[in-house]
Amino acid sequence: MSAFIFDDCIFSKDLKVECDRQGLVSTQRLEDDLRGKEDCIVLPAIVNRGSVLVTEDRRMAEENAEFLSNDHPGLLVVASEESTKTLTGRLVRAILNRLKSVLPNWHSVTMRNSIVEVTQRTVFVYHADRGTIHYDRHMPLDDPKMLEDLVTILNRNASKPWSRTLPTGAE
Amino acid sequence: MNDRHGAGNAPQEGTQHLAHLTSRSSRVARRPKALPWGSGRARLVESWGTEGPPGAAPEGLHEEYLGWAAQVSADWLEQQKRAGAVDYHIVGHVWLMQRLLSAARDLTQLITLDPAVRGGVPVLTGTRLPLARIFAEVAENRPLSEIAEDLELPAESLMQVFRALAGSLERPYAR
Repeated sequence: MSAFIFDDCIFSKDLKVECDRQGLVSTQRLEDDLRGKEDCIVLPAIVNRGSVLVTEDRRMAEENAEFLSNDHPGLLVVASEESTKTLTGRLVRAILNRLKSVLPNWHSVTMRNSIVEVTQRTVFVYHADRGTIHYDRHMPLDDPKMLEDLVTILNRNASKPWSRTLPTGAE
Repeated sequence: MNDRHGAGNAPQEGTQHLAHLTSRSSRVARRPKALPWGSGRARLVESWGTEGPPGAAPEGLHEEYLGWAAQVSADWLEQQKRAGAVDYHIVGHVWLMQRLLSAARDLTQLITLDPAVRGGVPVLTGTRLPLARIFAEVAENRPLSEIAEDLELPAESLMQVFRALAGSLERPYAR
């Protein structure tokens, strides 16, 4: 069973209860010792615990990409596509429920080595390599090919093909 | 405090580009080039008509202007008002920005502004919870007690934020 940790910024009891009720993944709130801590402390701590971090903080990945450059369990960023619409617990649940509805096997889909950003209408996939975030693809949630494309790109990232394409002698 | 600005709030470091606004004894409130004065200002006042400003800042009322409003000293503004050099709407902006600045001072104990925490988004101290989310939750018509329970936070910590804001807006406008 995959494990997800909710960042403080995205946590709500209702969200956790809803996820737990489904019983498909294990969820947890960010531990007390990490609450209020810097991004560069939170991110590696969660990565080392082998859980997917669910956050609304997209900058966390951008500014701490070095912690995501080796094997990591994945990062799920929930964001609002409308810049004037601040994320609330209700909006986060709506966005995640939409993703779950178009990706019925979401709980068994690997997010390993991927940074997945989901909004009201779109899923973006990125990966980190040598301290830099690289864009992979984005897919509208209402695109019939979205499911296939998303699973393909997530599986590809899980195997880290970019780490095998380094030129000889690099690093 | 800076004599140029009387006993009020003098412009702070890092706002040198705004200094000329308050350094002259001109009867006209000076401004940086990009401010919506001139035709922009006329449009602004025109758009408000006789009913006063709308709820949201009119288009063209950009950050530099609001930054200026936050820096102007109360005494300097009073002099300008007496001299008839600034209009009522400008006084309103200045008042609002200064009250918000005052709220920010009160809120410094309650919020954390750290580029390393949540990328610098203001968060409730001791958490990684953005303040913006609390307001957005309230705007969804949720009671503070319910929000606190959902976020597993003491309701008191949320109430303090609102008390600080309320306190900052108690002062009368344009007396």
